[in-house]
Amino acid sequence: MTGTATEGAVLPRVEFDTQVCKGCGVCIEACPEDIIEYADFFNHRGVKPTRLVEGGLVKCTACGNCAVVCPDSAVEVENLRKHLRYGRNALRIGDMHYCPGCDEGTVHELLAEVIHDLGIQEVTVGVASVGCTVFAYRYIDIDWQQAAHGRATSVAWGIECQHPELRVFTLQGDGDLAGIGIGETFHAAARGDPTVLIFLNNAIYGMTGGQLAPTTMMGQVTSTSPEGRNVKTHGYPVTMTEALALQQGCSFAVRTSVHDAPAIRRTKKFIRQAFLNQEKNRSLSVVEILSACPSGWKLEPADAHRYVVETMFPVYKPGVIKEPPGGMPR
Amino acid sequence: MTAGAGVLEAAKGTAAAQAAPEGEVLLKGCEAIAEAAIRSGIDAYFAYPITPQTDIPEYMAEHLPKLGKTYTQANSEVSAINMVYGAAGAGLRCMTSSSSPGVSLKQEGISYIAGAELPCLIVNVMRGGPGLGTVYGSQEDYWQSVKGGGHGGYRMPVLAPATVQECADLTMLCVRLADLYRTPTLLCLDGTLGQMWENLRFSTFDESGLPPKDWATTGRKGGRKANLVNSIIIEPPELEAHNRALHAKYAVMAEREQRWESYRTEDADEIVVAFGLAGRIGRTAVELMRAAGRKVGLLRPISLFPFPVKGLAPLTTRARRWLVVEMNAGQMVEDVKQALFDLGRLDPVKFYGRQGGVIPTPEEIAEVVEREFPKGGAR
Repeated sequence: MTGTATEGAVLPRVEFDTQVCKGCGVCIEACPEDIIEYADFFNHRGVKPTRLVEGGLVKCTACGNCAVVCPDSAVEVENLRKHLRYGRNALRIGDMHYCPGCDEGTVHELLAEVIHDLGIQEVTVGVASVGCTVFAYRYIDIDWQQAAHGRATSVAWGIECQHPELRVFTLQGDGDLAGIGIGETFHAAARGDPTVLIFLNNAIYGMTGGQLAPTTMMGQVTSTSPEGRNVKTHGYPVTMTEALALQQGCSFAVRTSVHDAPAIRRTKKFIRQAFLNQEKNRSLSVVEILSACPSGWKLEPADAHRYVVETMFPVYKPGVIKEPPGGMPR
Repeated sequence: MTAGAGVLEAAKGTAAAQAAPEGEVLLKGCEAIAEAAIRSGIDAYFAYPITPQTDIPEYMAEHLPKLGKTYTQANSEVSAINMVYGAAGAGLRCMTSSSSPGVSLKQEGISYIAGAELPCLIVNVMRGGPGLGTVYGSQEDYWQSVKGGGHGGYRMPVLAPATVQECADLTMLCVRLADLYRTPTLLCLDGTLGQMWENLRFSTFDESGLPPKDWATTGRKGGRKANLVNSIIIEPPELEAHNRALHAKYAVMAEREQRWESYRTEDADEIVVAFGLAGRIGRTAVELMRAAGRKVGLLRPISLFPFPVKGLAPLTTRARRWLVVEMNAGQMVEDVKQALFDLGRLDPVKFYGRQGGVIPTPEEIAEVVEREFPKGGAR
């Protein structure tokens, strides 16, 4: 037998959409082979997009991390030998308004993938709330309602009360869910509404420019806690998911994060489990996702992700808080 | 709908039913509203208890679940109106009810519902205010009802019954107008009427000509284009276009949906203008004054928005003196003055009001007319 070591090897297909890219650089951090760099030109957004380094493809293992972590779904990786594809799902539409490196885009991609994978796009209705998720309806190609600030769970109950066939989820930030809407959220758990709550906790009011939220960390500097959060002035951070899990009408509660590729893959499983639990147990499922807000936190995306792990994890402990009756759905 | 028949069946054998003529039933104003809503095909009702309208949720809690419909006691009025938003957006025929302080809490949601153009019924069984005020009936929410209680300059049909029969009839009409115009509608009555018992006869809900709700978020079945229920339109020119379309719709409502009752106005030199319970009392006052030889008539607006200018205009050919009577400090009187001004009339418009839940008597109104319009000073 003759040939070289690479004979029979099929190179992966890797495509960077340099016009969609916002230059946040999380793909550079996520690449185990160190084969992603900033380009030497500016795209229409005025940023230098990322790309593979010259000749990088031969080193690429098609792990898909760059595609998984891209909050704007601007990277596509295909392992042609194993027929595995990573990148934008068919239900994920439009260019997002989120800041570079914002984790909310990542969560949109995961939601689109789960809804698509479960084949429920014809019966799923999303409820966008007020805050950064206000335009969520632009990014996932399903029916949506846009709710008033804090009222997403009440709107969700209105949608599903006479439509048992519908799969309703809310996409809410921490100000919405744990601040102005804490009453609505709590009573959705008390009633046991069959809603999936996707709770994006970025410890800040992002849309309005980074003010103190109920979930802001002790000592965290925001535009309305310029000296850092202190108990005397601002009280303690609210741990909402634990409170919801205590209610009988909440059957599944988990806290997770999307700070790196393994965490994103775990979070996708949790979102999937929440939708499966919705079908099986017909009561409230809560997925709290600790989300970096680089703009609001005034941190580089990579530093923001480190902040999630180093500062948020000790207070907002990741993991399953309440397992559904009969164990985790698969 | 069958629930109404159930009520009539259940009432058989009771003293009330025996006293009622065939086909009639004795109900409270609030109960008549609830029953009429059920007969209008309401799919879902969401509310929070507050006096003096709690008979409505109690009636709904008893009857709606038996029909497979939704009754939810929400954690607050704020939550209830947002459940209405969600349900209306999902294509359900739905409603909420409350009383003045509770309706204040609903204003944010009503603004969103108006912006998103969702059909629903809101009932305000008014009590005295401001603040917690009193549980006794009043008309102090006229401004809030017709001038857009929430933000953003929207309008919606507002109907004001004066009898228990009208409570039922106008409830059905509100539900119909909501679906017809894709708009919230408000049934506005004072707490006294809500608690008043009278015989009434239910009519059949008119389903004819109502448009399909193909915009509702019922899931993209069959791969149809995604539907969106929404009130955020961030680009100013787009929001302006949306608002212009809304106000064009309000103009159509204003043209087509004016309703009023005129009583003994044909030869009247003086007109009492009053709505709801005040209008009903005003009718008796007119009878008193007619017996005493005054040529007085009554104009009772039934639609508060649109204000019934068409009912007022023909009266101006003869009448020169106007007394507006309200159970508040003077709110609708502004619309009467504006309507007369728009018609080119500068007649004196007097006002008489009782507040805080105090109900004016017919004699009181007659005395005010005597005092304000001395005989011989008419023209």
